[in-house]
Amino acid sequence: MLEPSFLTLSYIICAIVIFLFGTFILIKSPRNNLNLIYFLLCTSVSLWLFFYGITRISFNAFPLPSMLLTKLAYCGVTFIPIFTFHYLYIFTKREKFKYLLYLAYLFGFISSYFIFHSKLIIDGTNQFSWGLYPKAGRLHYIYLCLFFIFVFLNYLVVIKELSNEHLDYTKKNQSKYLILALSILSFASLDFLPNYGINFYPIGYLPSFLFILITGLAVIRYKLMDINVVINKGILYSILFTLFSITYILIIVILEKFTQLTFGYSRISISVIIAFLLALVFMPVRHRLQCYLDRLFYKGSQEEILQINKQLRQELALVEKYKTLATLSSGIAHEVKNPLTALMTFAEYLPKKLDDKDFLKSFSRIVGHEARRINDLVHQLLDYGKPSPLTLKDTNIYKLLDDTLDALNSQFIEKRINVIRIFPQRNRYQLTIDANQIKQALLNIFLNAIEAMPHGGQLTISTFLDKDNFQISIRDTGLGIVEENLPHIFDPFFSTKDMSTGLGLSITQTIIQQHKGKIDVKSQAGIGTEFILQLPIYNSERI
Amino acid sequence: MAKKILICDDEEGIRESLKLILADHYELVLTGSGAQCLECLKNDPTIKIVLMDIKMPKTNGLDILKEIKQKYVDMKVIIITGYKSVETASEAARLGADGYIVKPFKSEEIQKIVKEHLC
Repeated sequence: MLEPSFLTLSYIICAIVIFLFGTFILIKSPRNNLNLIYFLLCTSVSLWLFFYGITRISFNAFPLPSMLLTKLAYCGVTFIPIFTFHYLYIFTKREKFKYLLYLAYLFGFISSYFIFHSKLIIDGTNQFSWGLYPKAGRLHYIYLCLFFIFVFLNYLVVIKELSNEHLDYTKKNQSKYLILALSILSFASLDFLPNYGINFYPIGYLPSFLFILITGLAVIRYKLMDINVVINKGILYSILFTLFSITYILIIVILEKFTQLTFGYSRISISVIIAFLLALVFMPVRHRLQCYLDRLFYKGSQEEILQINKQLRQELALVEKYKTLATLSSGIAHEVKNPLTALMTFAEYLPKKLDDKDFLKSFSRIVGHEARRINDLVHQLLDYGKPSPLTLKDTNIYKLLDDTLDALNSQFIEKRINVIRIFPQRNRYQLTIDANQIKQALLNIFLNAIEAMPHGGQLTISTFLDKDNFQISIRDTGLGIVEENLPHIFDPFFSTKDMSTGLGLSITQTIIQQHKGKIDVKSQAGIGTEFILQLPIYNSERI
Repeated sequence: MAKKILICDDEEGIRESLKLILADHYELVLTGSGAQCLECLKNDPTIKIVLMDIKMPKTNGLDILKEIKQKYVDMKVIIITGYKSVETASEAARLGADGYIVKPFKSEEIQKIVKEHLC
């Protein structure tokens, strides 16, 4: 008999859907290796489901080619954990698993060979009430052990990836979806039970289908595999509406049949009442479902939005930092010219003055000194580029102020800004601070001052010391800040300038607060602005 | 008698370099700040030419240039700077600078420009 059962059909339909989904992913981005492997994974899953489904028909209809089809299905199964491993290998970029990957493919090919050319893995069929099923051969348990080792390895790789603290938000969510998809797919391995004569009705198509559904959701929500799929709300609602209508009509038809069987007759009035009652129940359910789908596809939870916001802010802070770094680099590039000039001149005169003892003396002094200076300047730049958590160190605050101001010298000269330093206690005062961070805080204020004085002016930096605090006042004679903007200048993204992220002063405030310090501002439009930084001096000592 | 040149730069490396280039032919006075430079000019009327950096602590070389040109109209002032910007160059020219040399300079460049202005 050639009548396809429900089981057979489910396997074949799932196989086709999964293969089509895999192809869709591949077509969307064919050059992406991740997508290619995902396609291969889908292919191996659908090979298994398709040939198994066909086998069910052929076992019953034509006994001969069924064994070949079973073997083809088994090859599909064998490659599922291997392609999954390959997929995760690319996804997590773990180079050290390279040899394990080779091993996985070796296992795949050797197993396929034995499946086709021996009875060691598959040996005949088991007869069940629901039909025939391939029987495990003598070495099937070894095959099964290796199979599960790779399944286990897959879990291990994703869990390891998830425990990585530096994982960004999107990648973390992608990994969460992958682990869920893997867990569900693992249930498909229950289909191995009938191989050993255990009477278990095969349901492998269900977890496989869910696997595709979950990875599909990850593609839509978290751009897994770099695919940007936008599901139109209208299409989504139409699908929902169609499903609902079908259910609705089915219920009415069933109920009508039921009343006819129970009472022996059917009345149009009863049908109308039933339809009305159902509509009453269906409306809120439909609304609920729509809301749920909205949330699932289009809206993030409060927590997710906060997370994304945080990530965005970090990225912008980095942009701000690079902007400052660019200014710093140009300053340092100029600074290097002085020692470079000295080195070049001394090198030029060396051959002519080899016998001049005075020259040689100043040569060794000047050349050594200038080379060290270049080294220091380069280090300043390198240190600034390093992203680092707050590392407190005793720092000479006056040297830090001088270095920071010197780095901006080219700008001060170009903009005709006169810099006045009033450092009354200039006797090497040490503060326990993170020099790099405070440097960034100061740079942001100085850069703001420079921008506020497009036609030149005066920048006065003065320091004071009281019982608890070291104070730095930075006063410019620039445009000043309008009174209504004054309360907002430390707000993130607040800016009155065109090419500004509006994060500079916000970052400065955060840095000062991290040091348990305070930052105040006084300003008058047209007269100028004064920033006052207070840094606590506990932990600090005068040396 | 060798002609006298005043060198004004806060960087010892630059002062020593200029000394190497010029000391064989000219008499040199070395100063490290704008204030010292003005002081020397006041005390020594034999100085014919000033080689000066723009970027110095406390003072902007351009301000010193302006003051020198106001007080000593015939004094030749050559600006030596690391900043190759059009604004600074034109500002220096406007204030009466007689020459503009960008660091890192070559010894011949310095010798040539000094020679030109001392003739």
